[in-house]
Amino acid sequence: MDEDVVARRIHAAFAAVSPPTAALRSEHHPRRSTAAIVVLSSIALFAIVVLGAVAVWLNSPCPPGIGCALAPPTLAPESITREQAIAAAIRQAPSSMTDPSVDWATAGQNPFEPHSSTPVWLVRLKGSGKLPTCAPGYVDRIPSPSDAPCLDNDLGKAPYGLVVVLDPLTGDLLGWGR
Amino acid sequence: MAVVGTHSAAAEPAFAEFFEATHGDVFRAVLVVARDWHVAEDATATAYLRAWERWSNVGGYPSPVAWVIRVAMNDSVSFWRRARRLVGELRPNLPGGEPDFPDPDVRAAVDGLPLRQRQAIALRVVLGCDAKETAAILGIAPGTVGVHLSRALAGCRATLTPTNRSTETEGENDG
Repeated sequence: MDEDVVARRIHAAFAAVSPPTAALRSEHHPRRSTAAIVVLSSIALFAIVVLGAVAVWLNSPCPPGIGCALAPPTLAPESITREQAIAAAIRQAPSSMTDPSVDWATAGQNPFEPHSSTPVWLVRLKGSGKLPTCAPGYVDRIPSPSDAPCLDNDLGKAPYGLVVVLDPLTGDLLGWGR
Repeated sequence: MAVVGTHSAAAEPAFAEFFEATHGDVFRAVLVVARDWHVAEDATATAYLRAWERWSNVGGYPSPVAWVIRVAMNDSVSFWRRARRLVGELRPNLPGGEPDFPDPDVRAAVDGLPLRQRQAIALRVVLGCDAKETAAILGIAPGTVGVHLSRALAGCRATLTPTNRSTETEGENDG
């Protein structure tokens, strides 16, 4: 079985899962008091949603789906612009990185705080120099702000580079991603 | 107590349409990451509640669903970690089962993957996001997404292959 077959089987299995309904929520067992508030709120929300959805659904020829039309997460309005983020990243690139250039720049999840819903600027710089290459296995662990910069090869298809993680409001360096 | 904030009635149809169109896919993706039906349900509901409370902002984002997915995935992990700290290894014995999963072998294979690999499966395979979209949501490089996905699929293949031996040609041996 090749990986395409595996992927299709996984997709088919999860696509067949029916999401919880109001009926399921009403059977929710009471073992988690922390969840009770959420469940009760969900039921109230669900009632509102159903009323609104009926009206909308009747007038909607093709309700939008995910599709997957996901755009990068949106930064707060007072955040620095993409151009400012790129300039900050190049300015703060390790001095030992020669001729850094931008591979890509995007708003994304803070790699140092996986639980945070506040996005940061991520700017990948290409370049070379005297920076060490990242140690094997780096992709399997969550980076730390204290990690020293290192060059990854982005799956071997891109030039060596590193991801500069920037504060979305100030452009200050938060650390080095990969 | 006003759970739903002070939104105008005009905002309700837009949110309702958004919820109806996306909550199924969001729940399935979070289920992959959470590995627990009830945790996924709670995390998904919580994320939509947060979206509703902030709908005047979130509704204007280019992709509100990306925001909901990130919040739900993060919440599922933190909730699961809190729960795991409290109940230790008792999870399989807790009351309140979940609906039968259509393909238990797939579920077991995916559940056995590390967090990042499950996130890659959730976004790339279950939702069909491309590498760049997935990378933006997870805050990692697109190439790293590819690495996680490749390892995830290889891991699942290794787990699933023995169960298929009886239906595949006898000469196959992919290690």
